[in-house]
Amino acid sequence: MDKTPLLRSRWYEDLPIGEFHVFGSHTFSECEIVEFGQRYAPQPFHTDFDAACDTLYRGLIASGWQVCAVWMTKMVSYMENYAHGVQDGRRNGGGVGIDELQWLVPVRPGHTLTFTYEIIEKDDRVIRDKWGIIRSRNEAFNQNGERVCSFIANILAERDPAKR
Amino acid sequence: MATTRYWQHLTVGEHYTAGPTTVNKHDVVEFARDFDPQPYHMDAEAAEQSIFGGLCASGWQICALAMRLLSEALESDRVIILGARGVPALRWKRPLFAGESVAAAIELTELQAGPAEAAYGVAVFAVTLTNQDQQPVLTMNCELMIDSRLTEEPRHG
Repeated sequence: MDKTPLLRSRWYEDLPIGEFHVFGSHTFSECEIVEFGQRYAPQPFHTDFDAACDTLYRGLIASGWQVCAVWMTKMVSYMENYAHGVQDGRRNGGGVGIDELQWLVPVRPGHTLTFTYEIIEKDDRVIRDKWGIIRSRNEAFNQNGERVCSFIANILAERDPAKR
Repeated sequence: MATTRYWQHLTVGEHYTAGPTTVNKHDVVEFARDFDPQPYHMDAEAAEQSIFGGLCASGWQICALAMRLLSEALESDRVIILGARGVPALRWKRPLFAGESVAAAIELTELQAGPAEAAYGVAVFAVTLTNQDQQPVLTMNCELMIDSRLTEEPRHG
């Protein structure tokens, strides 16, 4: 039986402002924090347990870009659950950019973040004949309910051919 | 030994460069598998049918590469990063295809004092990544916390 396609397989016109989702949670391990830090953010507070203790953070913290990358992971897997079989790379046009990205509270090994998404605005300009831009407010909250990261994502969604 | 350049030593308009660094197919697919498992970042054939027209890096991988190049540029200029506050705006200008390389051009655009008693001041860097054909791949403004624990040098003689 087919799953009801809710997200990816919907056209731009069918995505309502105000729609809200909780993408899920992720617990950050020391190992993944260090691995990401060594590759992309080589500050001691991202790469080395002992050296991190001598920094302002008094211990290891995740790179802010890792928090964003994990948001992406959760978004992709969440949407797959709703749009099984339509992950064909056509109706999701990829990201245009990010606004107002803020890293507010450090994320440490063992911390669990929960990621939320809300459609806040639609840009009706038609891009390359068939795309519109969905603006969403995305937030990550830690296990204590503190907001640790926030940003607005601008992502292309394909317009309904019948309404172009 | 080279001395640290503290926040107080920085001036608006300073330029830095870093890279180039090449992103091979393995890097692209590995990052995508971990963080962004969509066909145009994982599968060359599917990628050709996508909006991008070929296997290309996740936008977040491009951001992470920009951070690494920014880190390298500041480290070689003896500036110490104590953290990152945010990114008011970033734009992905074109895909970064597997096998391509990027270099960073960086300009310091703004300096803001940190909170009272803080160990840092904020510096805003405008970062542009360009590919091997000098086409823009990413632009972003990144607000970094820069070490401001400048103490007076002891006077000798």
